[in-house]
Amino acid sequence: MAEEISLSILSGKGGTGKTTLAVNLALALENVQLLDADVEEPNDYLFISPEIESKETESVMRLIPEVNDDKCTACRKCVDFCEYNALAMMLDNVLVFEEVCHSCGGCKIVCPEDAITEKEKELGKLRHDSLSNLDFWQGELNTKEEKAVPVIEKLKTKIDRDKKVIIDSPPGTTCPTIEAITDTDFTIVVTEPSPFGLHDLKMVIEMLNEIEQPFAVVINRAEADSDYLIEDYCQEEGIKIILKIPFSRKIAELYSEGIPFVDKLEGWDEKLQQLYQEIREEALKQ
Amino acid sequence: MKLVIPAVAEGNMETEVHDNFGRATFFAFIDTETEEIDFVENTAAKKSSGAGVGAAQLCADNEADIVTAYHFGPKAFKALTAAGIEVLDLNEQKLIKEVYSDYKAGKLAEAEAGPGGHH
Ligand code: SF4
Ligand code: SF4
Repeated sequence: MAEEISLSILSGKGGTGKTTLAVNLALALENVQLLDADVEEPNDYLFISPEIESKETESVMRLIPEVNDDKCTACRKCVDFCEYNALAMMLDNVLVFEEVCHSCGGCKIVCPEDAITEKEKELGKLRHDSLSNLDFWQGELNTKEEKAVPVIEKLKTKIDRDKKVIIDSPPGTTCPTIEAITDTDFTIVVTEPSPFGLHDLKMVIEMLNEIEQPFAVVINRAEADSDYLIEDYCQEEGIKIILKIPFSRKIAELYSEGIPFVDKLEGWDEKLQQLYQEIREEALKQ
Repeated sequence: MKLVIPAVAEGNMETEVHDNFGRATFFAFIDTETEEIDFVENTAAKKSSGAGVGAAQLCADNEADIVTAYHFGPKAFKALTAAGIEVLDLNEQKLIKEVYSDYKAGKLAEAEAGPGGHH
């Protein structure tokens, strides 16, 4: 069997066409795995598995301290230690504020009385659906939770290297994004041909260069009279533009109805398969 | 009794009330018997999260009996009440002296927890 690669798909901001590309590419390929790592706003399922909530679910947990009042001498070391104000000492009792606790585990270590133990709290979920040619996983952060990285780490344990792997990353340049793209062989950055698109693209590229991640650019909502914004920049920087998804009413309509455009528009299956092959060759050269 | 009012700066009775309990720069502590006023810097405002809890801790550590603010978040509310501190809502008052006179006149209502907990 030919060696397959893993791809991450990224954009500077949400709503630039990341979902469109991830979903359509996944559907155009065979023997493929799609992992939606945009855990704060996963929406690939709308196109792939609208009933995902009723499918197989797994919890991702984090640890929260619990104080044993019988052992606690109210020495206050834990409260002083906690950088996040997740602990307070009120009338000689330690109060734990779970929502602001970052699960760093430090309070348990500094407690001289061994009064702190840890309990699990659900941070997020993984959901899974397997379609005939497509193994679909989604990471999801619970509302009010902030730490996306552990959910993405857990999601990555589901990667099957015998398949073509596509990871839909969180937009932007922060830790969750980096967690989602490191370990993938290649990154596709989706952008729009506008001054804002270019601005966000530059930030993403700066981050990718810093972590030495190979990448190429896809222009979404491409239009002949504005593509130069992205093209000029990419040419100057020696960055490859590997695909343009044209601005089209049909594509926008299909998107709003939750229908992947590869299913409806001629020629895109082949185009996206070719895209994968090109990237694969590029990535294997690295 | 020690009455606490979030303040925009270290000052006196004419100083303005800060509109955010957790992020207040200073807290005015008024001794209701002697009418002496002291200002304590809110070091919790600089921490990366949980400013409301930190500010509540600071009030408790300085032996507050009553804390006033325009609004209390659920965590600050929980922390203050756990310390046995009375929490009162502000509304129209702009200056510390206005809060103090309304307090003495019994015009301040008990606060409720939660976002939008002040009417
Ligand atoms: S685990 Fe870390 S963040 Fe959570 S309460 Fe303890 S010290 Fe604070
Ligand atoms: S460090 Fe341990 S003993 Fe000290 S206050 Fe915290 S829980 Fe209690």
